Amino acid sequence: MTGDSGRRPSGARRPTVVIVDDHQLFRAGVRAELAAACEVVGEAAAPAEAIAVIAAAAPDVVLLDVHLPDGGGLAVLEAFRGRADAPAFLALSVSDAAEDVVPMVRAGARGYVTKTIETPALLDAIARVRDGEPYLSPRLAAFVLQAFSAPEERADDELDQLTPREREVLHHLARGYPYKRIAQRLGISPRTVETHVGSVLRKLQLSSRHELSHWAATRGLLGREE
Amino acid sequence: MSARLGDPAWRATAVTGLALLAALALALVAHDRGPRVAAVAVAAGTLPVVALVLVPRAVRHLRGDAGRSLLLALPVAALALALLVVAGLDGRRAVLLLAMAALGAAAGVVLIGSELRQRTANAGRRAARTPWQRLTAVERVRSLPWQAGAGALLIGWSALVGIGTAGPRLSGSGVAWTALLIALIGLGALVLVLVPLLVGAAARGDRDRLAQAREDERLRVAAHLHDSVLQTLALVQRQASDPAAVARLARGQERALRAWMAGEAELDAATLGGALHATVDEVERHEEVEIEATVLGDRALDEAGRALVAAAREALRNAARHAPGSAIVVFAELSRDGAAVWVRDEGGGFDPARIPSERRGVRDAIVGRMAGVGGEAAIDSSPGAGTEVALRLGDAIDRSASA
Repeated sequence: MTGDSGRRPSGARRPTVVIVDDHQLFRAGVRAELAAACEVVGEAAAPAEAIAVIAAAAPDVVLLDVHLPDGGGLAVLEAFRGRADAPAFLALSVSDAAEDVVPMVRAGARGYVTKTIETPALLDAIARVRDGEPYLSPRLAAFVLQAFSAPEERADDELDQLTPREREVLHHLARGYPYKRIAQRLGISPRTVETHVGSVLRKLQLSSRHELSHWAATRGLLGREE
Repeated sequence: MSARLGDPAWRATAVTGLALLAALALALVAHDRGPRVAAVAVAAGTLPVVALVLVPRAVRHLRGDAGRSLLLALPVAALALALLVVAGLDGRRAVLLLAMAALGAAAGVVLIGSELRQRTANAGRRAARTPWQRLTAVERVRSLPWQAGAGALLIGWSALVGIGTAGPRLSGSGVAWTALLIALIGLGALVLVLVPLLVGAAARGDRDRLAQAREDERLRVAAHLHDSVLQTLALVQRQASDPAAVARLARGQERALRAWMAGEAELDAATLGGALHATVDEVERHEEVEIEATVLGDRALDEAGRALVAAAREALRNAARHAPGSAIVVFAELSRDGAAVWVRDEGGGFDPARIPSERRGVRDAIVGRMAGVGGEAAIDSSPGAGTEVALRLGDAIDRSASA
């Protein structure tokens, strides 16, 4: 939905993709959907298998289900955290609840889409994260806005705050504007919009805001981190 | 036998029966006289209570399975009466008084036990009501604990008579001291019996309430699933030949289920957020479009809120008709002090200065509606750049003005 229809993946090569989901039927469905625009180089049903497959296939993008047996998608993200060979992760789930969405992004996913997403929007999201850009659905942007809107006592830490510009960009994303139109409306370049969204994602990953920590804690993320 | 000892009512009856027998035996050994008139008056006062309350209750319990343990009360009462008659004929007034006191105390304990049992038994059968009603309301039992009250009165009366009779004899008589000791032991036994009874009743009540709460929750979930998911599945089966209709049904149901699982207001919409979700759902179904709606916060649904929902419905229909096939996104920020809703489509857009006449009517319906309740509506569109309708109420207007 944030998709910018005029956009094309950089480079002529089709993006290589690994699909991680514990439902075989779903993997088959996604594989068929992606066939025209991507090259599916691997599939996995559980975190351990996924880590091996990803390391072997070295894809551009990993479509990662949130709810997996034995640690969930978070386990896969943790395994690649900080690694130079880490691919771009696009989290994929039936759930769009904040407590599922936010921990995945905090753990390093570059984007998050729900499984009901239309094929063109999914392809756009894959192309975006492959190019190193963040992909926030309007709903995820709204959640992030909400998390950063709550009053915070330790407001001196800039990681716990969004700048007015970042807030504005996020607000437009929540309202369904694609990057290009946000750039037009705010009088800045699309590249600057991407930078703002990227810095929001960074803050999302590094901030110690209570709302974010709480969401992360409900998914057991902080326990492994500290 | 052990099963019977586990029954609080049986324990109560057994202990009071033993206490009664001990008191009678002691009184028979003691030699003394009291005023005949007082004894007759006390007898006249007690016997009707025993005859009218204790005996009918015992008989009624005998008919029910639960009350069979009270069988013991009958021989005890009969023995007590027999001793009473013998002692009375023998002229031992003190014995008569003590016997009356013991009988009265026994009747009191039986009454209290019976009341407790009825109340705890009913607690399990009671249907779900408010927590307060669950605590207080009793099915098929008077709301006032008159049985327990009568029982307490009887015990109090017995204690007074017992003390009045035994008190003057306490000076130096070993037998009297023994009597007092036995009375104290009897009292202690009573406490021992009654306290577990009360605690047990409270615990059982808690357990019942917990089980009831679980059952309530299950029924609530079942009712919701029946009204929503099962209905949709039935519709899907009937419309299996129409893929578009099936997809629409599945999508509407999915959104409703998500909102419900997230604890958002149910779709009967007592809040503005709930009403917005319901409206999105409705437009999606009627116009056969897909709408992505995110609502942050919530507020009560007042008249201004209803106008806002109506304006949002117009904006959504407008987007569905004039931007076919494009994504429609709804974003709402609601709080107690204000509300802001954005409805956006990625369609062709138009030049607001040159609105076609048939669209002006819709625009007036949106802008006019919001102005009518002190709100504000802004339409932002240009050819090729899609359309966004912003609807604001309360402090959201001030914020947009200062921004």
